[in-house]
Formats: sequence, C-alpha cells, structure tokens
Amino acid sequence: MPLGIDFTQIFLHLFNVAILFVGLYILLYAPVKKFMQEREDHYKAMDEEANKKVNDANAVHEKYTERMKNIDGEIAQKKQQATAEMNEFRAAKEKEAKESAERIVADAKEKADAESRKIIETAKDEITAMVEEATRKVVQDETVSGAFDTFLDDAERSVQDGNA
Amino acid sequence: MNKESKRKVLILLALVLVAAMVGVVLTKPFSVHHETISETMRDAVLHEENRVWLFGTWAVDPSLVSGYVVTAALLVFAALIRIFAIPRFKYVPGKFQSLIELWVTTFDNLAKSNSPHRNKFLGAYIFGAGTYIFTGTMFELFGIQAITTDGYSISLPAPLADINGAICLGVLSYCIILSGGIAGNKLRGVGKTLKEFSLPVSMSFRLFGALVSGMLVTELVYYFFTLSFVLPVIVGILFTVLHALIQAYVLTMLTSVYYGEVSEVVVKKKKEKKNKADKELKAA
Repeated sequence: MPLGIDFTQIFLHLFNVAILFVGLYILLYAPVKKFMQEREDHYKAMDEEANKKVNDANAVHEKYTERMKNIDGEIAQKKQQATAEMNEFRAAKEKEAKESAERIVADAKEKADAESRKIIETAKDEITAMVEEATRKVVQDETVSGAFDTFLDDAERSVQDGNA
Repeated sequence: MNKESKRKVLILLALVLVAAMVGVVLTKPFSVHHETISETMRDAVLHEENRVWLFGTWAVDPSLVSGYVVTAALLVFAALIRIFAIPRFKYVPGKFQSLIELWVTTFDNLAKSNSPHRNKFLGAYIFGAGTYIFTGTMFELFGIQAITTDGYSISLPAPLADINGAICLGVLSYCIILSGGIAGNKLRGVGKTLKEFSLPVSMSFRLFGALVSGMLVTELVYYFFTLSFVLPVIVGILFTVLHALIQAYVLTMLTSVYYGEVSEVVVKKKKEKKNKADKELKAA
C-alpha cells in the first residue's frame, strides 16, 4: 500500500486504542466524574438549605417588621385589656371583701343576740330567785315585827295628833 | 555544607562537564550513522525500514510498540490513581486532586460546550483520545530504545507519527461522530455525517502530518553533531510539548464540534412543512 498504510497495523492500533479508552473510562473518567457529581449535589443541597433558611429568616423578619409597625396600637390594646382585667379583678376582690365583712358582722350580731338572750335568761332566773327571796322575807317580816312597827307608827301618829 | 565545600563541588562538576565535552568531541568523528539523513527522513515518513518485532513474530512499525507502551503506562497510572488517590478525594481538593479533576473536566467541558444536547459518550471518548495523543506525543521525549529487525538501536517514536496510528484515530473519531448522528437524528444523522466524507482523511493526515513534521525537525537537529547543543532543548522539548497540546486540542475539538453538529435534533423542517401545508390549504 502507498505511504506504508497497513490494515493489519491499523487494526492493531485500533485494538490498542479501544483497550486504552475503555480502561481510562472505567478507571479514571467515570469515578472522577461520579465524585465531582456527588460533590456538586452536596453543595447544591447545602445551597438549597441555606436559601431556604434565608427565605424563612426573611419571612420572620417581614412578619416582625409588620408587627413593629402596629406595635403602638397593639401596646395600647394590651394596656386597655390589662386595665379592664385589673378593674374586674379589683371589683371582684372588693365584692368578696364586702361579703366577707357582712358575713362577719352578721355572725357577730347573731352571736351578740344569743349572748344577750342568754344573759337575759340568766338574769330572769336570778330576779325570780331574788323576788321569791324578797317575798319570802316580806311575808316573814309582816307577821311579827311588822305588827309591832305598825303599832309604833300608829302610836306615834296619835301622839302627834293629840299635841296638835 | 559550607561555602568552601560548595565551591569545591561546583569546580568538580565543571571539570566533569568539560571532560565529557572533550570526550564527545574527540570520539564523535569515529561514530558512524547506519543511515544517511535522507534515508532517516524518508523512513520517518514511510516507515519502510527500521521495523521491530511485536511479540517476537510480527515485524511492525516501532510506533505500534510505542502505542502499546503508552497504553500500558497510562492504564497502570490510571489504576494507581483509582486505587490510591480517588478513595482519598476530598470536597476541598488538594493539588494532585485538582490536577486530576482539571484533566477530566477539560474534556468534559469541551464535550458539553460543543454538544450540549448529547455529550456523555463524547466526553468519555475525547478524554481517552486527548490523553492518548498528548501522552503519546510526549512519549518521544523519553527516547526509550528498541532494537530493529536488522539489529540497530532506535528510539521509539510517538505512536501517532505512524500513518496507520493516525488513520486509526481519524477513522475512529469519524465513526464516533457517525454514531452521534445516528443516536441524535437516525438516518438524517447518517446523511449529515456522510456529507463530511473528507473528515476521516483530513483528521488522519492532519494528525500524521503534524506529528511527522515535528519528528522530522527533531531528527534533523539530533542528526547533526553541531546542532546538538542548546538547540535540542528548544526543539525537542518545547516543540514536542506544544505539539502534544495542540494536536490533542485540535482532534478533540474537531470531533466534539462535528459530533454536536450531526447529533443535534432538527425540528425546523417539520414546522416549515406544516406552514407550507397550511398555505396550500388557504390558497385552495
């Protein structure tokens, strides 16, 4: 063949090149590409995660910015609510104290009444006993000394009348 | 090592170099070339003489042996990287890992940029082809010796400095382009690829011509004793490195460009046909 072209040698070169290409693909190209793909996926996932976090943070920031805008109104509303709650609480407490005081007074009155009744009952019994005693003494006195006293009195009165 | 001992070593080295030069000059006139420069040049192109035994039976061109040596060296190197380096790869690469990644991504990106729609197989192919051309061309720098069938010692040339090696790679590249055409456009792809019928010849001879011309210049420089000082550093190393880079880039670039062209799915013509049919209907 012209120029030294030899088909046998071309096929021998082809055989050599085919082995080399397949070997390089299996040993080097595919594993390195696989590793680089893994790394790319890893960083992509990290990037997505970071973006998601940034978006979340932005959403929270926006939410709080919005809230900050309305914070005065919210504070006033909260204050009003707290005052109302406080008033309510105070009224409840006052009512409770009043009721408690009334209950104490009523109890005291009741107790005083009972005590008074008890004292009167006791006094009644004592008076009855004293009256009985006095009556008994009067009766006894009227029988002897009383007649004598009456005689003396009558006598004194008749003397006084005679002198007059 | 102090200053004085350093000086002594330098003087000794200089004396050895001078002695070597004198020895070369004195003995050179007695050395004999077994072929003239014109025979050497002719053989570099046509490869009629200086054949070497392959497996002790076939007398083949030394480039084929070079090809096998390069393949074996590359496969051993790749296996070592696969076993020892790749399992230790980190997400933040070191210098060696960066080099390996650069090696792979250069060809991968070339495939992706020239054939964005279909590039997986193309990337793997041009990675192999580019690596083979670059390493094969650089191989001639090592000057590994082989014995010819006539018993002379020669240094093994680049694998693609042989027309058969260049034809093999050129035709293989054309077949790869054809496969891309079939995969992307079926019969239309075959037609598109066959339109570029001169491609295998042009690719083969471009590769062969470039590498042979480099080899001829190098042979010329090394043949003459008077050109053997300083000049080989430029001719032998710089030219070879540039050749290796340029030829690897040219073949892989051409292959990926044509592959991308023939494998790109065409949808325009269908629309045009539809438009034509609509116009005909309207006219009717």
